[in-house]
Amino acid sequence: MFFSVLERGLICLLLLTLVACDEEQLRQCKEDGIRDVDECLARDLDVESNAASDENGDAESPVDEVPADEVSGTVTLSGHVTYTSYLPTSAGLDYRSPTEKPIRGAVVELWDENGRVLDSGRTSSAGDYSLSAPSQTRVSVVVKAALGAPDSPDTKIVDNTEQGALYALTKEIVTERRHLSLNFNANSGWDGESYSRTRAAAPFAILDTIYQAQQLVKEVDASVAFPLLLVNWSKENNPAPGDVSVGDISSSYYSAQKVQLFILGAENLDTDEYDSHVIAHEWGHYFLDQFSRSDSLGGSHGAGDKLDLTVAFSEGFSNAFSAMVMADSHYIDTSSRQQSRMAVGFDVDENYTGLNGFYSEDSVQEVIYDLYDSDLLDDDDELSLGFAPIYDALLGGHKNTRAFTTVFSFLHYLKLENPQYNEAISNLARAEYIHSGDEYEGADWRLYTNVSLDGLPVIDDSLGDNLEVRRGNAFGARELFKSEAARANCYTFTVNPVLGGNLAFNLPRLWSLPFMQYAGTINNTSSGQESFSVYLEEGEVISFAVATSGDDTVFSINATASDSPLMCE
Amino acid sequence: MPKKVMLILLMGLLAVCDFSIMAAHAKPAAPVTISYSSSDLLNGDKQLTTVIKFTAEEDLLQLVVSASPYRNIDLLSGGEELKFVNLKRGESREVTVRVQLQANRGYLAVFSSTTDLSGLERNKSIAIGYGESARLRQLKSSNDDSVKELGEERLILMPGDERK
Repeated sequence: MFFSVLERGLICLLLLTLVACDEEQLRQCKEDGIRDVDECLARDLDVESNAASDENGDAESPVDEVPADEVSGTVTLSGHVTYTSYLPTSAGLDYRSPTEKPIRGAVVELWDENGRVLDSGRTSSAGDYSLSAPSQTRVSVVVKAALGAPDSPDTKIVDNTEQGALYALTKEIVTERRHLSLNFNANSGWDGESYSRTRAAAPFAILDTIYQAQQLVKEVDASVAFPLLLVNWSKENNPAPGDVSVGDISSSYYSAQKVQLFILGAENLDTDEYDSHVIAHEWGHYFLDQFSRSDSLGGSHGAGDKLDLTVAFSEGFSNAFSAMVMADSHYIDTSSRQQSRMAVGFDVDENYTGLNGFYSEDSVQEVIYDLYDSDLLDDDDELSLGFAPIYDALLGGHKNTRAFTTVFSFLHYLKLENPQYNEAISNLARAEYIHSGDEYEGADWRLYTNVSLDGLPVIDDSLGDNLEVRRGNAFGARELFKSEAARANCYTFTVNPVLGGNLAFNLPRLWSLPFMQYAGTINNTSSGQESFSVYLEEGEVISFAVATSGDDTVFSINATASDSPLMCE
Repeated sequence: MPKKVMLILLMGLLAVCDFSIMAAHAKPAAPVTISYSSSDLLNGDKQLTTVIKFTAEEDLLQLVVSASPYRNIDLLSGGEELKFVNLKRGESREVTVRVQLQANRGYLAVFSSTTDLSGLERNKSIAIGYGESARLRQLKSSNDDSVKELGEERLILMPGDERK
């Protein structure tokens, strides 16, 4: 097909205009702080469709004058949805200064009177929605506490005390023969003294923090897909251990077994829906677990704790991540009567505890945040890498390391992938007494003991310290070992108690072996002796840890090439 | 099944649990562990005594603790605020409370405030649940008319408040 000169000119002009428009849209989004391209385009479409109502800000805006489509009998129902939010401060939640924030990226549906879905979509990054509705009909706009595609959300805020029912905000309206605007808010239920009414804002406050966390990831990986995450929140969720179906959840936490968050909501005891750093911290655990790899033992922890390396990294990363998501290094968790106290508060960018090292979450969080932050965030160091190299390292070498996932494996692969910053990264870590070495340990402190594969036993570890029972996730509660196969074979590793104690193996989550329980634990006997068999290629390395439930345990380990390769099948 | 075999099985199960209880990744907390033990029912009035143990996770200048009724419970004794000073890491203090249940399930709130050697204050609140949670679950699921079942989805519909 051939075009005339005039036709070609017109086509070129049209194409140039489209390209220029897209560039203009993206530039405007960048200026407005909107990171995601999809969000940007969706926002611009919404802005276009709601331009008149936005300018006038009420239901009598010119958009209302547009008549219904005479052929289809449909009208456009659009509006702006918000939730009431409170700022966590060092004096608890600031109820004196409520703000109404947009509900962003949420699934929105239009229902008829029988709950049948007539149209669906997502709210924009400004909290706007636009739906097609039949004219002169009673309908409801339903905003679900869910992110992602309307027919298959990736995040849902649900009530664990109501069999996982999904929270949704709804507003009924009778449509007319013209386009309508309907704006509404999710109220907090706070009456100045207590939560006396429905706490509709709470699920959307949680949702919005997760929206921001997703944006941080999308900014460096536009094609990212988030595995389904259920976030369990209820006003019944209290800090008692027990049955989660009645709200006894102990604490806010991420369960890697279930791929679910549990968030406290117990008024006058501990609520976390507005403690955005807490939500982002827990989402950070989900991110590590689902996108990278976490060998963390989990458990209780806090500033100043000397932790197992895997726990220190997982918690330190999640603290730093919360500061990145919120663009605020001040982590605050509120609690107590009328949510009037700060339970925990610290500056991620400053380790005030005096405990420095690879076993300190305070050190890990400061190093990771310093790698990320820039002058816009009161940077106090020479590096400003942003999130992309951190993301790449976590999803690259760190995810597949043969070592346990710790600050050493993270820094090792971060430096490998960014050699130009090698020295600066090392300096930053050294300031927290985290010294360079390899993906296993620092050069100054050997943490792994080698176990040869020729059957020679290692009695405890060569440092000579007996293994003692400590809080299960404390540093020193388990000993680390590694072996390298000189030739490909099936190998059997056995640990025997010499003195006291039941023993267990822990393996990095890289491995999936028979009889392995959750979190890589092998503990199949109560006699103390444990063993596992694994096929290793020539030069392949396996790491493992030995933990004890007895007092002052001494043990021996040996590894032998198996006579029966069937052991490894 | 012989008692000895059962005992061995139980010990084995406990040993297994011992290594696998820490699957949860919790939020940062104040440096105090709060544990407790409940006594048996004292009488038909559903009265119980509980010893609450506060263990310092690091050296503390001060530890302030208190307990108060949270839901469906009366605190008969042990509710006063107590202040302990200069606790070494690993040291514990105990408080005994006596409660009476008002329903099948009740909760006692326990508050603690720690001050570490740097002067930093951190707080921790926990709840102690008494009675049967199964009964509570039954009662709750029977009467909440904001919950709608639509196809395979259960929704809690909350009313929006109109804005101009």
